[in-house]
Amino acid sequence: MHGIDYLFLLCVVLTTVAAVQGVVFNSFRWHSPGNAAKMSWSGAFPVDGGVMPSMAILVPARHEEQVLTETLLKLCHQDYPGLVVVPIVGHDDPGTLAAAEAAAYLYPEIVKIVIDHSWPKSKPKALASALPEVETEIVGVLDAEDDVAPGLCYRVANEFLADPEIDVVQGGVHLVNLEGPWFAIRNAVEYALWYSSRLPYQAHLGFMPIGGNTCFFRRSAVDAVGGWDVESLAEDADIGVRLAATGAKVTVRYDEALATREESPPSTSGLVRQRVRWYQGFIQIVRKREWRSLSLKRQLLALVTLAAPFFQFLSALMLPGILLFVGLTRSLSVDLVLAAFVPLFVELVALVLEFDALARLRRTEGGKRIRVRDVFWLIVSIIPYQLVMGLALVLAVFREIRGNHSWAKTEHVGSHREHSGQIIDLRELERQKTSASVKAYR
Amino acid sequence: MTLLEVPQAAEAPLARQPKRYGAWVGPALLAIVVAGLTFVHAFNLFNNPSPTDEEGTYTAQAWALIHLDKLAPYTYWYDHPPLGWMLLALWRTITKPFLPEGPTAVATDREFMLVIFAATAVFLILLARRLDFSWLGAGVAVVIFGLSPLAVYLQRLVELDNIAVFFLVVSLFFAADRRRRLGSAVLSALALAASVLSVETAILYAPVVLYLLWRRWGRETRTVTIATFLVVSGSAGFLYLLYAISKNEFIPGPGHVSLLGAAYWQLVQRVPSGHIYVAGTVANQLLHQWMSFDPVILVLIVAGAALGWLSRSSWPFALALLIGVVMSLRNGYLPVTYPVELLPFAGLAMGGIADTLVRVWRPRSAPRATSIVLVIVAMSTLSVTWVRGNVAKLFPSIDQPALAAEHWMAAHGDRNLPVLVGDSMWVDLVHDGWQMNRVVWFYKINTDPEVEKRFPAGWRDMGYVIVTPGMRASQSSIPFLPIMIAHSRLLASFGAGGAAVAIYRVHG
Repeated sequence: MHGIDYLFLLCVVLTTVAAVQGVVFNSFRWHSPGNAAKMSWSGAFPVDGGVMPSMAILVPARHEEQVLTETLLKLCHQDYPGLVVVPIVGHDDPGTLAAAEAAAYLYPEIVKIVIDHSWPKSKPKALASALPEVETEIVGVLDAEDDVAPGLCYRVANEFLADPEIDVVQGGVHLVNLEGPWFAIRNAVEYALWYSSRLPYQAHLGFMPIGGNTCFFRRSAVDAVGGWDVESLAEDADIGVRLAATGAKVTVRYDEALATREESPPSTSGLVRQRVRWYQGFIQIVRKREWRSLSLKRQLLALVTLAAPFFQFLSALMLPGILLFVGLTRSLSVDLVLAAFVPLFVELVALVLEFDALARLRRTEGGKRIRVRDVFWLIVSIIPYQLVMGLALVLAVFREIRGNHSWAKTEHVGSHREHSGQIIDLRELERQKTSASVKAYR
Repeated sequence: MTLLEVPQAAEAPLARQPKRYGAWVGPALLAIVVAGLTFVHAFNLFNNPSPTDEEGTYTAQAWALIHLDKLAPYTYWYDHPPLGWMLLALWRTITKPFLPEGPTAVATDREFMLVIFAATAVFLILLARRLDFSWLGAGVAVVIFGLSPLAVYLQRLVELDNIAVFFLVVSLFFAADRRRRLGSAVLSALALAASVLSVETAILYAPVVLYLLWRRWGRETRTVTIATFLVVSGSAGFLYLLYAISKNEFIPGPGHVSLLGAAYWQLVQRVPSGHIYVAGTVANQLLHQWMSFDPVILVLIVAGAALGWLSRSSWPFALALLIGVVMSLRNGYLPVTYPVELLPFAGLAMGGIADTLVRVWRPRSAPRATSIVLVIVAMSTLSVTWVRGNVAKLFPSIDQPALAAEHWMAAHGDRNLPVLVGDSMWVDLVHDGWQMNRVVWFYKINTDPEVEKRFPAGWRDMGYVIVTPGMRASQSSIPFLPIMIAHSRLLASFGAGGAAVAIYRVHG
């Protein structure tokens, strides 16, 4: 074997390890029967004689007038006793403020608008400005376009009641605009696997990053770590790391039918912006070194999570690179040629998991079967998607080197909802209000 | 959906059965049984049976891996996938410093087969237990698997089928995981692939593994598990095709061997052995050869295929036996090792039946233990018969004319003269000082282009020919043998009649 052969073998081994790690993490739901049941939500009913904990849901919103009102109303329809819904709106954003006020007009006792005066604007700053305004035992975070399953607040409260040790409950999130841009299906599958397998597995192993929404914190735990880091670009993962450092107990709940529904970014540039923000946020977290105070096993898990974009990027580069090298050079020994295909085979297993996730998504979203077109797009989008991820990573690294920490926001147009982009008629809202309260008493 | 939907209760974890008093008796007894079976296999395995040419082939191919870093001392022509002798080579490399050497290279490699047998027996018992067989049922299974004189004879041989059977049983073992873990399905898939990569015919029994997997895994995780199983086993098996493709030896072409060509030969061109039930065919002769060792096991194989359906725990194995029996009835090529792959299934099918008998059959007028006593008496009778058969046929050293011929060559042979031999002698002669290029498997002289180039005059370029029973039986592939002998002088002859081995000096 020559030097180049060893390098080749090293690439193959690294790619295989990365691929196997991905498959193992993404298949937790199927590791053994009962795993799905273990991560299932508890019931959506008040526990007999139990005092339901007070709950506030923070909804940071910026330029979200198209989707915010409906989101807030749906939260109000949760009918959880004493629920406070807190839209956080920038002082320079009258459109979104109007949308929030529409909901507050209908549910003045539930909706409590917080104006965020910070500058420049970012999600963690919005959260931080709202935190002192709420005094509930549980604080949840939702995004402005999220559709939350009915009864979710009760389920969340029951999780906290069932286990007093729990500090964070993370719920599942689905991207449901499958007919959206070219990457929508792949993006949705990525989310589905993330919430149904990867997060639960990491929670099972001892460390998981917390998602950006549908996460509910025990107030005391948030206060113990000093709230959100306002400078962070991935405030969710950041607080997750700091909570883990205090030994907080984090749990994931996932049922297909109960996942929060949201949309993937409407365009490729939107996707890139979102990923640049996340990846740069991850780099920030790694540089902050707070993760170093975790136990060794958790440090490893944290690294696997935070460095995942790098591994993904490297294997996305290496896998085609390896196969190209095999195709172009004829000098490789047969053993190395065979070895080169092993990571590819592992990726085939990953594809099986993705098909299944997609089939489940289709079934949940309208009871449809998976289509040939879905499968086609899922496969065809692999390489361009990896390229976009790679581009985002490069941009993130570049921004971090330049010291640019501004918040590039993901825009939302409401494509996951039936009446996208409309501001809802107030009379229609009144009607919804009465029918919702009737439904709740049935 | 309603607000009052209660999530499905988690499946209760499969509790381990509480340890009963005396729970160690079963495992201890079976450990003794396995030790006893291994002893029967080990006793005099160097000197009985005498090395066959097929054993010699795999011994030489493992030797080539160790010493030449090649899959075979000749051009590898995709006769079988190479995993079996790769493992054999690995075993030899590791154990060479501390395990005793046999009188021949083939005999030494039988040590590996002994280990494979013991490991298969252990996994067979574990598999039976995972399928909720009682210790008695598991015992019946392992005895039927490994005590028949036919089983002992075939399982002693350095044959790829034995290695394939080991992986097959391991694959079933993982497919029977009580906890239905995805990881077990992956291991099962890898083991199945290893089995097929040891002997390609093991693929016949892939449906058995799949069926067991299907039955074992519930609806919840079945789809993903089976899809993963198929992808993993398919990918691992595909490596073999990939090997051929990357060497440009997948599709037949002039001047090179090919995988498809070899497969075509195996499936279509190879002279069929005839119908097993027609007197005078090769297959029928083979049947008689097997029966001369032990007819009972053949009856059990057929009985298992027919009666295994009575007990649900035996279904997968009845299926396997049915596949095996039906395939043996075709007019196809039938190898001497054919029963090897059916032995574990016969054991498991009969073990399952015995188990059902013990658990279900409760005669009113007889004490409850009647069925247990019945099974034990039947098995004891069978065991005694089989042990006596083994003592008579497989314990004594047998006359080995081939070994005597090797000794004669070592003492008197001219190392500079090329020798035409049966496969079983190849490694020994090379060890005795002949250059490996000058020891030629008899059928390679007119089939391997590389050899033909080295010896352009064919058999006339040979210095010696050592005529063995194996060679005489393969006259169709070496039609020149009578002329060759006519042009040669007999130097020495060992043994008598059909077993005779003769050394000739060739005067081309």
